[in-house]
Amino acid sequence: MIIINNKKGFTLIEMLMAVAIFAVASVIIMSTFVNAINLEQQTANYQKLQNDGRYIVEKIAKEVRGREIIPIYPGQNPTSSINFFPDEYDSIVSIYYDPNTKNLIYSQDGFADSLNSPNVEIEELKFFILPSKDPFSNVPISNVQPRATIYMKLKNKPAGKYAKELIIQTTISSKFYKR
Amino acid sequence: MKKVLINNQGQGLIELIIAIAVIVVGLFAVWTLFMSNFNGEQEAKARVIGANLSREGIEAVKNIRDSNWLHRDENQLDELNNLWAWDHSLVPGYYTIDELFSSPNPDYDGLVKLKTIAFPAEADKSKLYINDLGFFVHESGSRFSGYSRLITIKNICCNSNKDDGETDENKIRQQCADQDFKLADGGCDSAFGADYTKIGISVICQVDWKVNEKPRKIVIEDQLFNWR
Repeated sequence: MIIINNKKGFTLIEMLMAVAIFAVASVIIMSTFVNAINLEQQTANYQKLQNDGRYIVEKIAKEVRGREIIPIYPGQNPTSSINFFPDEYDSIVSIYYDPNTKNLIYSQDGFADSLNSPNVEIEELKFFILPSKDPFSNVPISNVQPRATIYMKLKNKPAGKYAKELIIQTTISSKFYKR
Repeated sequence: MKKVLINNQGQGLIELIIAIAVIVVGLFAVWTLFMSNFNGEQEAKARVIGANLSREGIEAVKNIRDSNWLHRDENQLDELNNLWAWDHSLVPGYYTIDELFSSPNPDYDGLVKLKTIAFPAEADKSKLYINDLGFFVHESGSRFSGYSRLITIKNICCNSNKDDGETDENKIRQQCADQDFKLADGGCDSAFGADYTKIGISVICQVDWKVNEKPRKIVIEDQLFNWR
């Protein structure tokens, strides 16, 4: 039996080369991985903002369309709350901004909860409520259909390097026709 | 007799380079996937803003129509001493929103006002700027928001004299329910002949913006009639 046996092993240079190549390769892989995770986090943050933004706008739109807005004086615009007259079930609804907790609160008959999710805060919220006189009072003093303009700046919570911002502005005209 | 050959060749440099190349291509593909996901999300974000601005345009016109109804209910007369029409000031043309919420004067009654623009000659006037409060407005001078908004109003015309000369209202409705209507940039009779009557207005609100220098747009169209 002939066994051709190799007893050479690796030299130091070969070893160093191997380690260097391995190091370079792993650095490339790791940085790609880390970047991908960061990017993914930013993408997820955008997604959260859009989810909340869309939901909040639709919720406010639904209420403004279906309920009778209590008018405010022109000097009070822009305001941070919308209050509605009691509906046919004597239910009292209001939507207001809490600047301390940075939440948008929806309150119905004294029960209040925030419209934004815990990982999104409302940085800024402004409503323009017009007209300033009630078109549906017994003696109408305005011939303008009520409407609300919403301006909302959403931000990710907790604020960090990858926290994103989303500004949404829209106007909703009421579909409340009493006269 | 048995020969056992032990291979002591190891890997050559070429093989190593190819291996690394394969890994890099794989990584690049994954990275591209993440990048396009991120870009897509940014597109979506811009689109959410655009959609809401576009909706604002439609709602403004709807608010004018509803306010016209309120004027009518009070038997108000327009400039020509006719009863206030449901489509007062909503004639075909290109518009931007002149007054919607910027009400510094306490006497502002809240009536939405549109401003006629010549399109496409004055396309620049449809640009939206950011005002002191952060709102999107058409008044120039402040920072350009990247978005522009153009409202187009057209008349919806219906052939009221289609079959045997009967022109009752039900028939008009029926014909238009069958999608048998046309859009006119001006008067219905001048566009399609005396048989055509105006039954409503079509409001088209287009919002334009750019993402990475690539043009994007969203168009919302709504049809408004004289019934609630």
